[in-house]
Amino acid sequence: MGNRFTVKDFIFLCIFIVLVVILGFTLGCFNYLTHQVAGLRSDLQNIEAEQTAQLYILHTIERKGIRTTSPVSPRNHATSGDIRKTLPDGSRYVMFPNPPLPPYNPYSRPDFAYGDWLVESLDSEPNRIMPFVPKSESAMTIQASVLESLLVRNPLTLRYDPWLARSYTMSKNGLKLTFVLRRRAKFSNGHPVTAQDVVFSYDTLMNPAVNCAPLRSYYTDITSCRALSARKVVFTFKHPYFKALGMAGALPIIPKSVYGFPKISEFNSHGKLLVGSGPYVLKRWSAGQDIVLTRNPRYWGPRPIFNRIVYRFISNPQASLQSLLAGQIDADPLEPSQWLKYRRRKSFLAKFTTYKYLSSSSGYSYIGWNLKKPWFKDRRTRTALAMLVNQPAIIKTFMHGLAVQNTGPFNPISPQNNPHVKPIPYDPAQAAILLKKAGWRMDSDGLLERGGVKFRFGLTIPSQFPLYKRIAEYIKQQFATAGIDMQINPLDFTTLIQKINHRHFSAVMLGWSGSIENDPYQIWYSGSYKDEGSNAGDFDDPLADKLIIDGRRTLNYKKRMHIWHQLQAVIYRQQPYLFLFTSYDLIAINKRIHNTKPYPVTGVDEADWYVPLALQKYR
Amino acid sequence: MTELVGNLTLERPASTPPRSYWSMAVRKMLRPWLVKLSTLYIALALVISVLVPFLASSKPYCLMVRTSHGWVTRYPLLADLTTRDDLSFVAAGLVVALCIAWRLTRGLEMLSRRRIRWIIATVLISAAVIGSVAIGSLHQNRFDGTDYRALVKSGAARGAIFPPIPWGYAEMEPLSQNAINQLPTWKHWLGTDRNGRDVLSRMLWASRVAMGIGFVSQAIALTLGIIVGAMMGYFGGIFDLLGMRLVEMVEAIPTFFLILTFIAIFGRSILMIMIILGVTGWTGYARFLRAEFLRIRQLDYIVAARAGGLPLWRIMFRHMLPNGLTPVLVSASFGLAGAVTIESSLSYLGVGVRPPTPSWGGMLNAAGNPATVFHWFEALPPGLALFLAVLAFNIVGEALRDAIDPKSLS
Repeated sequence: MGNRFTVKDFIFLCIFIVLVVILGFTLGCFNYLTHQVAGLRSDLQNIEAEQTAQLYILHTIERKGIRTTSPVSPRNHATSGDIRKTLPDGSRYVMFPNPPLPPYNPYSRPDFAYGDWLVESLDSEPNRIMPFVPKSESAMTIQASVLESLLVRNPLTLRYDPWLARSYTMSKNGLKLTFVLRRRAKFSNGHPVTAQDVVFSYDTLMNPAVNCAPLRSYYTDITSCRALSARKVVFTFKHPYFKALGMAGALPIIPKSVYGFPKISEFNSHGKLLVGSGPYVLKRWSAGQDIVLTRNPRYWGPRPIFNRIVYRFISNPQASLQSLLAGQIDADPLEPSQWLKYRRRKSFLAKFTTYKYLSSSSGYSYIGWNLKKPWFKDRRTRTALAMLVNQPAIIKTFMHGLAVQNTGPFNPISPQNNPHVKPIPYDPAQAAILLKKAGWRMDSDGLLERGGVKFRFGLTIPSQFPLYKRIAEYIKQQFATAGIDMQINPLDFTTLIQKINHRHFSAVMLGWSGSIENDPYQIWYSGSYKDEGSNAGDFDDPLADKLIIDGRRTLNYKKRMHIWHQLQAVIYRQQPYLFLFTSYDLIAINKRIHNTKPYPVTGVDEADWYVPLALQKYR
Repeated sequence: MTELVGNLTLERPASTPPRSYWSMAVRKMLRPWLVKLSTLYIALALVISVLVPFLASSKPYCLMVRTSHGWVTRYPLLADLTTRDDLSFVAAGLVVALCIAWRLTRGLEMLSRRRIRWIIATVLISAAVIGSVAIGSLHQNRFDGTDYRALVKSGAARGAIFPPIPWGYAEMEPLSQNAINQLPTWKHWLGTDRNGRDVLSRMLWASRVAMGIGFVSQAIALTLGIIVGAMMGYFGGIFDLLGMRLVEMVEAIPTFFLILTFIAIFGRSILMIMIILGVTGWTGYARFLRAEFLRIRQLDYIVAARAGGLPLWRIMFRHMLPNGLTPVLVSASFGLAGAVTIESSLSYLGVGVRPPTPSWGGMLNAAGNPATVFHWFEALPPGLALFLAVLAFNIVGEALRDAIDPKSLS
């Protein structure tokens, strides 16, 4: 029964055959289309290559003296029109008719060419890239190519030169700063950069509803920012402030036409809106994968060199090194062990340029104590903890000697650093004495105890840095010998930052990035604790507060450095952090990228980089 | 079941003790040498994971310390045992005691044997429970950071007897380039890792994490699975409908991501991982048991038991469960392998146990770590141990499945 071939079976068979035919047809169509698209793509690439070649010819002609009508041509750019002078009333006047060129000028190189992509790795994905709001290093890196400010720091002379502004005037007492904007400066949406945009940027930053307390803390000394005309804007200051020029000049200028939300609180809820006047615009953000910036076609300044800048998120240093070796990324910071291992390989050195230097942006690592917690309230305990850690051994063993021990919050190569502050020595015996003096007694269960509080706390570390884990494990053992139980809590970076912002931590191991001259206000002023400020551990020292305020108001360089030196001594004595070390910047750059020489203080600068036509890969 | 088969084999000559279904199955299972080896490996890992505080520790069993009253004998290792150590001893002791009791009572006549076994089991289990509660509430975990090796070296102590592997799992040698990444030597049998810690000691301690996670999570899963599966299979109807929907819901939960999320929110805890693995892993057992119970409840002896007015729990757990449990146990041994794999994957990703607690996955991660150069002696032992553990669980599971296959059991 049932073995007969019935009509029903026939119909089923027909339907099945039809389905198979349709499937085959679809696949064929798909295949055909794929081929077509691939063909089109290669055609496009050919056209683009042709254009690049033609451009190259044009530039060659240009070099020989035939003028073309490029908006700002970096080649026939003259610095002779630059004016720096002191006006009769004692104020300082600086005017650059053209935006300044990088000191290691790539445009004048014989093999210079536009085009190609720059692909780099970022060790963490930012949670938002909205201007002002993010607090992560990676978001700042991305913003640097999209947002611009009134002034730009010359990496060689370290002076501020006009950029979006054509000129600036600083009054003699340092309280009034006037900028005149460039006429041709435009945002990427086509709107011109006006004085209203500058005022808008300032107002947004200063609005307490906007979630950017750490950045805002720098601008507290500005009383007002007013637009005098469409192109003239004036900043006035409460007190003289040593960073006045740098901060007002470095304020990222954002377009009012884009960010002028009806409700200011919307500023915090947007995460991915990034529009500025810079050479690159945000093209794509693939979560967990990469951020792609593409050349701003309407850029007002010198034509951006690369067609695209791609930031891939690779949190594992080994993985990012592998990507570098495979040519998937062009530049990568190296770990000390990687540096030692790969610098020995000839094949590596043939393919990559490597640099090792201590730069102003090299940050320092630290363990920050939450001074509100009972364990870390007194200075002696904190000093004892520092004495339990053999820092030279850490640097030698874990860092392979590629780091310098910190004796305070300032970069060791910065003039702010006080060379007379001596590091706390590794001395467990002395630490035991100090702990006893601080009132800690050995309990029956083997832990130190003071007033019913056992010395047991958690150290929060970011989970993606193996080095931090190693150091934490070492420190845990060192503390254990003194009767202190430290538990290690590795957390995802985003979660960790949240915990710190909400002050849910006892101790945390992290790093701060450095700058040429740091303003200690953000991290060390007592008022920076509130509003998720960066003084997360609540360091509150009247003397330090006074020195910070004094230092900020001192315009005289030498006097100011003297104050910073004193401040460093005070902070190091108080030990609100267990200061660890500043590591060398170790970087490997693919040799197809040229003009990568680092500047003496600031290190390598991507603005100088280019790929000669013959070596270009992404067309 | 035991007595049922026992009844059938009563005609055997008295000289050979009657064999139960289970002892026959186990004998058959253990026949191939590979299975013997696998069982041995698992047993060894279990024994090590229980006794590891005595095998690998930086604390000596005993030593004499100079105090103001002269030389005093101290027992740092015993004093240093944690609640967790004590509880694992209690659990292991209970299992061993039960096994011995069963073995000793084997020769007794059936009815008195059953009664005696009940009594022994009740006494032992209640003693273990009371003991655990007492340990949990009374035992004070000591924190001992003393460096006894340095103490002995300095002459402040003498007569120290150290465990066979005198290194703690978190103990580093004084930091220097020579101390880290040592090749295997007589001092460190498997070398040292990137922090200068003894790899062998870490290996042994890691077996505790692996075995602990495997057995505890599967015990939770089995308990839940048996309860839910038995209910579904026996009652059917609305129980079955709702139970199966619950099973489907739980099966839709991606365990791995759930653990990652919990770790991100609540921090790291090995107990939490065990519980999550248990609470999400019972569905397979429940399905198996449901199917078995649906079959068994139709059988005549169950109908007879019901007609005889036996209480519900007795029908379910005395008459049905032993007959329905076999497929569940087979899948439990595969579940063990799965739990061990999940834990090591978590540790490999760097989100498993809290450092510096060692785990095989974490050690593998460290060996392939960019912060140091790759060393085979750091990567091979944990990788091999992990591979063998998972393989052993699978081999045993498969052998058990074959052994209880009614077609092959003759």
